[in-house]
Amino acid sequence: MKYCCMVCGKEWDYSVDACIFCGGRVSKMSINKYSVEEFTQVSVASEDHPIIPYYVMLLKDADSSYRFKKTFVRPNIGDTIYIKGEHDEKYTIGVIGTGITGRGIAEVAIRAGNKVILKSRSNAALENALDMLSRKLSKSMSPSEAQTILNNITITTNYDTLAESDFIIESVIEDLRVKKIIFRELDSICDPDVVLASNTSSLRISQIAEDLMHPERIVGLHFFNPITRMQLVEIVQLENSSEDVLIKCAELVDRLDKVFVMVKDIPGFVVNRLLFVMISEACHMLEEGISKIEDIDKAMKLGANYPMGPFELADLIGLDLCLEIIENLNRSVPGTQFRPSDILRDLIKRGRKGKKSGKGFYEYGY
Amino acid sequence: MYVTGIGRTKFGILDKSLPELLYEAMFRALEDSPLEIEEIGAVVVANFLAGNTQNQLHMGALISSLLPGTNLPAFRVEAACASGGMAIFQALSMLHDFQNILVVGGEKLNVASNKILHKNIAMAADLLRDQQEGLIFPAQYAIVASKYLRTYGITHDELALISLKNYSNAAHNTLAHFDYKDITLDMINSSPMVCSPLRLFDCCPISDGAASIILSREKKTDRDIKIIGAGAKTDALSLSHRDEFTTFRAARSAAEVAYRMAGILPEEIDVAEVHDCFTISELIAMEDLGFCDRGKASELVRNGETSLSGSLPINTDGGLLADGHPMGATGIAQICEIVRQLRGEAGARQVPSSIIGLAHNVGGIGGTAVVHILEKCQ
Repeated sequence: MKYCCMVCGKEWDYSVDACIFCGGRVSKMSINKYSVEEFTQVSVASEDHPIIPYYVMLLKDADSSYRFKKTFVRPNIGDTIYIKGEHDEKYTIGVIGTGITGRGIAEVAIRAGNKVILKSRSNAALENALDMLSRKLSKSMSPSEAQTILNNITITTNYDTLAESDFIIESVIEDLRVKKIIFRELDSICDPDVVLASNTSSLRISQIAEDLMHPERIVGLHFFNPITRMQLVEIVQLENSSEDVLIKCAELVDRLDKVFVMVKDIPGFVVNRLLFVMISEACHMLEEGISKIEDIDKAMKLGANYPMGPFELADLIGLDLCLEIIENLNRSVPGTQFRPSDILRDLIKRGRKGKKSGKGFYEYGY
Repeated sequence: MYVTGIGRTKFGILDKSLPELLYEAMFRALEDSPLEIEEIGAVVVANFLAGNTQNQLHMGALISSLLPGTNLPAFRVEAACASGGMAIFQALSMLHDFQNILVVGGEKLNVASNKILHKNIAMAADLLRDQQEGLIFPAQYAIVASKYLRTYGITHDELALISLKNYSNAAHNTLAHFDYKDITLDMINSSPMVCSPLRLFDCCPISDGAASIILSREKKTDRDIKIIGAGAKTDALSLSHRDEFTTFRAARSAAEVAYRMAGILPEEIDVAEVHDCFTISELIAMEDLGFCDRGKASELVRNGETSLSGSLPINTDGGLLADGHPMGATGIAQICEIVRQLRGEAGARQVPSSIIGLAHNVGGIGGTAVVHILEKCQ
């Protein structure tokens, strides 16, 4: 996007109305085709750009004005690059489920300027979700601004309403039977170009996708809680997911201001598969009296540069959810690395479910 | 307009705090000058990053804490890496109101991690256009270097010669960041890639340090050096807002103003301090200052013309590459070096019979450029 004086041709990046030189009217111009003029490979990490190496391209448009663009793909001088306008294409995103994850996906989607169709079984759940979203949005904007954004959500209890979506993301309980019913329904009512995604963290997407008419449009889109703050989305690629669908998903994630990684459909994908080995092992170390809760956390924070230790993170996730995921992984992954620990079961039995219940491995004062 | 006193600290990774460094530089400048502190009318202080790196601003009052009871008017000038040069330019225009002005600049950076420092230094570039696209400072100059090498068909070997020269000059400067480092072309060429095509030895270090000068309306002693030209210009923050990438328009026009004011031509310069934050910057500076035609600077370097024994020695103190680059201090330290050379007090790195010297200080990727020309009083 650039702003250009229609009379003398001066340009700004900022939304100015009139030209300070000639008084001419300034118009907004959307440019999206560039050629790569120069680039450098950056091999040092900085606070805002910690993942290296990356490339910064100097791009030139048809009017010979320039801009820089970061990329993780090595460019070539002279390549043609297309960059979409900031908000010139909005998606309609169907979200099934009004739990914390469903609401989080809906919030991120509307904040990024998209439309959302939110589906649940009951109107009460939908009204409640809208109310919670309204209160959440009102923390950072005026009630009228919040309302304008909320107007981009349509609520429904009917699957047919979802058919006009570009993407549908399912985020209901982790029950294979329920998910299979939902996807069969979606598969029959939606055009084949609608991408159908599950946000499951512990089920195999390929099992959900069994027996569908258009399995090539089924993927996993695994968001992380709190969704408004966590940058990552795992795009789970099935054996027959089409490349077109994967590219669409990557563009969606980008549009939501998040970062994606592509993973295959294995239990736990990347993050949970690695994270719960650590959390599980930390519980066993605690049981065996190898070290204290605080010291195990401190060790990982100061020795491995983790922002949180395994117990702090487990408390944040919720110990009941941790146990559920560990049990699921234990069933589907060979070996003993996910054997559930007694300490986790014991804490849950005593009502210590983590930060959300005020107590977990730690106690939280409010 | 005269420089009547100079002083600076060691540059490098230092134990002293920012106030201690500023104090040491001011102390040495006053010690070097015939003036007493009571004769100073105002202070201009140059600093770039104390706000973000150390959560310390309000530099004018900080100076007042260091000079108890003086209550002098004092304020900060910030122009990224050209803060020092701009502070001098500002002070010169204030000599109309004050007989003597103390200019001091410094930086204390080696308290933060490199990741934070890269982010903070990137503040010298446009937030939307540059910073958010990952254009840390070495990447800015890497784009320029890449364009330069491609345009003029030269290789990194030519850049390596600049690093080699400046490190060898720093060996004669005990106050330099890298006065102890004996480097070879092989070390330069096998050093880690920072931002292609720039390697570690193509980049200046992140230094702590401070420098100070005293500017006076009138000449005090025969050691005083006259400022005969001064020019400062700006350009758009982002390199992507320009249409030329192998020259800085702000530097060319600042030089033009300074030469015109001094009434001299580039070929009359005997010794120069130029802003070599990266090796490529020195080549571009030589061309922007009119020492040679565009694309020809590397020939002068290869022929040794810019070495200590050459016809136009450049960065005799080691430059930013090897003397170090405590941003707020840099532009002021350049003047210290030129004054030392013109006084004939530069010791082992003395350029014989130098009469006219030039200092060239750049902020960001050419968003600010300051050029000063100094002359020995005959």
